[in-house]
Amino acid sequence: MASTILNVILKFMVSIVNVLMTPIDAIINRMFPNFGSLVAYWNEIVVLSFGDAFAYIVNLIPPITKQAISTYLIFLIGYYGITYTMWTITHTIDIIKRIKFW
Amino acid sequence: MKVEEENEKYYAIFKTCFVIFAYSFIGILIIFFFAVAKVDALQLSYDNLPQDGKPYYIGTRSSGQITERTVSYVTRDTIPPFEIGTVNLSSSNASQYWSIGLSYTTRVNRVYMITMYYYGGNDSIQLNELTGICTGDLATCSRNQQTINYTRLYFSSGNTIIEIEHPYLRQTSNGLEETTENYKAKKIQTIFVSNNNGSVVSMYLNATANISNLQIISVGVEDLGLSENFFSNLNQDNKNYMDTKTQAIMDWVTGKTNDLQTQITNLTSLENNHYTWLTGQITNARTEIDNAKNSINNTITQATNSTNQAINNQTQDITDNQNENSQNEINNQNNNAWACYTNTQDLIDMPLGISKRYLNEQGQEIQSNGYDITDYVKVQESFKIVFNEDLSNDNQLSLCLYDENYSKTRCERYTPNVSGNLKQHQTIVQEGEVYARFSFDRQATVYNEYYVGTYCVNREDSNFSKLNDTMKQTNDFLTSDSDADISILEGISISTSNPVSELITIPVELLTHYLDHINDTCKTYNFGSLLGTDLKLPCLNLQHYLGNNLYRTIDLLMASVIIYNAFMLFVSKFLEVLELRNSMDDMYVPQHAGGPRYTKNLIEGTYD
Repeated sequence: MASTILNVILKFMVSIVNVLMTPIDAIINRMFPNFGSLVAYWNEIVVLSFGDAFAYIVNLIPPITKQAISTYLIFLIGYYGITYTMWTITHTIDIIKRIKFW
Repeated sequence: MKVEEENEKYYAIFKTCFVIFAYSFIGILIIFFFAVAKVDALQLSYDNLPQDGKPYYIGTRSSGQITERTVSYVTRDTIPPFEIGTVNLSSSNASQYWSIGLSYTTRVNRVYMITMYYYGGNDSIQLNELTGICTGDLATCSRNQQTINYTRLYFSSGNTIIEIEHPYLRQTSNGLEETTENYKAKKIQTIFVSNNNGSVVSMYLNATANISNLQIISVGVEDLGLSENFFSNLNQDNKNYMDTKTQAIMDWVTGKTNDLQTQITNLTSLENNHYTWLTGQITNARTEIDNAKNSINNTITQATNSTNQAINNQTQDITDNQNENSQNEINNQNNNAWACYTNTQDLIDMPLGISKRYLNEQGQEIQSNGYDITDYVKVQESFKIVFNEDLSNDNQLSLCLYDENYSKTRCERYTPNVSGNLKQHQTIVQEGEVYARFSFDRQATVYNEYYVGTYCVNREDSNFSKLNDTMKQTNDFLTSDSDADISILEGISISTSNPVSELITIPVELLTHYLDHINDTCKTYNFGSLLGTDLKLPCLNLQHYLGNNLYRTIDLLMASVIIYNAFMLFVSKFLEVLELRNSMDDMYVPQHAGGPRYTKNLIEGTYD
């Protein structure tokens, strides 16, 4: 249940970041066409290598402790994730309102 | 001023209560964790006797129904193997089986051990067929009523001599008397796993020898816990508990080892047979592959030579403007374009793969009871098939064509001629993406060498048409005026990724990866993707190295510390919120003291 909630929060954060970064991504893709594939390759290395290493270390931890750490992380990330996401949204809306191009 | 003091007083009381509550909650959590560990330890020792406080029946019989003798009530404090009754069987006759049993309601998937101590009797007593378990009451339990409701794991031979260290009841001329002396008795045990839940299971012990003067000292049943826990606990550091079980379990393991050794011996023999067969198959396959390679090379060489010759001839014809002669030459080529190969062995792995043999494990060709003699063959060239082998009158051979979905589109039937032989029947399959399969109409009598005898390729249809198509496409492309055709750019991907977003969300991806693998079992880590090596970190099962008790203790302590810190962080955050609210109260200015500061400023349109 907690993992599901956290997954939803993470996907929400990723969606917001993607929306906000769309113009910058377009510019980068236009200027450096191969940069995207390089980043994808780097992401794969980081996620698979470091992610597997992280999972390997975590799996050495006893089960109750592991569950406690996970729950703690979930609450912590959920708290800060929601806080900073809401901060980003409100400030973005504020900036848009200040522009008043309409 | 009074209001602020009042607020501070209430806030101090509330804060004190809250901190007390927080510490109490943490204490309860810690106690709860240790209580769980304690309960778990109890389960390892006594493991919840299933019939706690319920009667256990013990009875005897020489033949017929069992006579109930004693009823005992088992409590949780009973030390296993507990004594539930004493029965004297001295009056039993020779050559009659006797029984002693008990019955209770089992729970599913639990390991039970029944232990019986007996004294006296004849040394030649046959104990090898004496245990049975059946459903229903003990009184109606039949000797042959073996059921599927249990799985017996172990049964000792009854030769184990143990020394009883506690008083016991002994049959004397005055009846049963309690003794205080220690004496040697024999013990028999059986371990089984219950497969059903909630039904009464009776166990009885039978023998067919003279058992006069035999005294059953005690019979007890012990719940060893869930079967999975039982077997997992075998490797755990719980020697005190397992000491009483070790011998029985080791006997069982020895018996299983012997069984496995027998199975291994049988499998080794079987493996040798398979190895011999596989070696023969591999040798045959290698020979066929070599032959196929040679055949393919020959085909390619001949096709290439023929194609080159044809190109040269056509070029020469065009150069010399001898259209009539050129047409005659092309006609001759068409007539001679079929290149046929008659080596039947090579056909097994010919490019079209249109022959298939059915072999048994010994590599011998078997009688085909099926209808198909080929697999689906993808037809990419025009070809014709010539059958050199005879077909009997009882069989007909068909060539069926299928589409890409293996739906039959057309079948051609080849009927043997009057003499029963089909010499050279030809067919031409149109070039294209079709699939062909040869099959018998009815169940066939298989000939020893029943292959497609000849494989022919129409070089003009295949090579020339492909060459012409390629030349036409190339010419069309070179002479095309269209700039909009960007098909040549196929394969060159245009990046549509979000590089900046992906860089920013790497931590999120890592966290998602962590969440996906947090419940993995013990796993290895491969450095290959990171360093390009074969270095692997092994799977470390700390529970195995540290022992169950130490591992769980460390686990509980670490978890307690983490929960304590997390809870204190939560408390501090909560107190921060309360203090923030208090500071907001401080900022409020009552109406009699000038009114709300911010309200006034808002009305005037200014800000501080």
